[in-house]
Amino acid sequence: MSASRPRHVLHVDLDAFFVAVERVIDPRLHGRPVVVGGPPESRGVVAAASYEARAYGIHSAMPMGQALRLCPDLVRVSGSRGMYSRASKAVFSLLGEYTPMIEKVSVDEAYLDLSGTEHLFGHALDAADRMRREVKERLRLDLTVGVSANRLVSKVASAFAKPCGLFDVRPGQEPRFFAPLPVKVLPGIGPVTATRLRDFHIDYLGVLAATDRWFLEETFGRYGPAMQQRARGEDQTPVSPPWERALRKSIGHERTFSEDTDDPRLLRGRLQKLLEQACARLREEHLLARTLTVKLRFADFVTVNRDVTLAQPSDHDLEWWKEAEPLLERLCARRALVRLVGVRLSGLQQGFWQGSLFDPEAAAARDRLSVLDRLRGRYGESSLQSGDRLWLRGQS
Amino acid sequence: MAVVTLESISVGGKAAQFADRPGTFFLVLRGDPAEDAEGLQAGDVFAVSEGVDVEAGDLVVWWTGVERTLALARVQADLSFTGVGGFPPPSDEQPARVRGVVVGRLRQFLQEDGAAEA
Repeated sequence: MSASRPRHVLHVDLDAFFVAVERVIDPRLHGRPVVVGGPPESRGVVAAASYEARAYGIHSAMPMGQALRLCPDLVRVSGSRGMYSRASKAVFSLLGEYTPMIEKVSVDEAYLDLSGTEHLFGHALDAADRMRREVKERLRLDLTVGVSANRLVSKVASAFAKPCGLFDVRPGQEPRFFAPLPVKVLPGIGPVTATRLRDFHIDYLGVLAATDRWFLEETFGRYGPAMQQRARGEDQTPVSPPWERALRKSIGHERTFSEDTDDPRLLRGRLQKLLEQACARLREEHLLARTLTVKLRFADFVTVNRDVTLAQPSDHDLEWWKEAEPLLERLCARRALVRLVGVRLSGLQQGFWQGSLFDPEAAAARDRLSVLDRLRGRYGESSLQSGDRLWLRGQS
Repeated sequence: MAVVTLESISVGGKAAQFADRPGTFFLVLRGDPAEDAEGLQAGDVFAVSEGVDVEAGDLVVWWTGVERTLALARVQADLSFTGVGGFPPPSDEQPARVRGVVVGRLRQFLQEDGAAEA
């Protein structure tokens, strides 16, 4: 891309996404304080809160028990990762009709580069407006959009447009837009840096932008000048669609038990389930893993990891389970109650599983996994479960 | 001719932080704006930074000299001003006295009951 070509970058964010999906399924939830998350008796936490719930001071990651105490009328729904994933795919497939340059940063958030699409869709603000309407009409979900010449400014702009709005920062006005804002608004400036800046009476981005560079360099090292550049609304980071992005480093899942346990059947069942989920994600992204790490956190918060590396990378649940089971046994030798179990697959590479010619059973099992993936993608993660672990459904 | 006005407005949520400092404010567009390249819509909220330093391409807010009436104009390459969205252009009788530069535009789609419009 030439340096002089104007960029039009959008930051799109689905408002209270999990709650919004639940409201599509059950419209009676509209207008009520709703949270998505596990029950308080299972040490559940709030994964998402509606704006009505937020008015009570409820926020993500808050223990569910505390949320219910703040708002006794709170409606709690357990949520479904599979359903949110399908809703997210539907939204981003619709947005993909505007540009292939989409960088999805989470299930409900992405950057879009609309540079060069003016002749097709008009001004980026109008395109953003159309996207918002289409998502609302076709999927009944609310989209908030920030529009500007770069990712950084669009990200801040979308936060300003919430809920359910558009904020367009005019090209060339980025420093003026940022100048009156408190430093903590800038992504990358956390509470510690904000406090240090305040110690030097640098409370606003305009002040940070005008501070002597040498001072920032001396005080914050290399980060100082970079921070100043961002305070001026400058950001050259490109929007990277999946095919341009560096491969992710690992895929992991973990689960905290509602009650600490040393039941080997429960530990094995839960680990197997987590491994299935991690392998399904590998297959979805056409990745293979070389190393598996099993993690246990005990009731006294001591955390222990054990890993194993395969000669041939794999995305096959059963191949990994053969390795995971002995690792779990070794970890359980500590003979203490377990609070959390987790798996991580790393050493990832792009590719497809290749079975041995001499092991047709493994290949048949792998085919069955592909079928399972397709069915679960269509009907939800819990639509098909292994019979020997059905009893796990009643356990948390 | 389209009848359009600009009125002061306070904005809620995080966006309010923009106008927390002196020298910045929000204006809302009322009336029935004319269609043009700016694509203005009734209800558009403009974030304005006070100042008279303008450049070609800027959208500026200027005081018409009539009571507290404000108008929008676009700065041309030769630094002359043209009206936008049905706002009259500055003239010899009403020269552009610039109040500030529009840095951004906010559109929100909440209905009275807080639900989002389609």
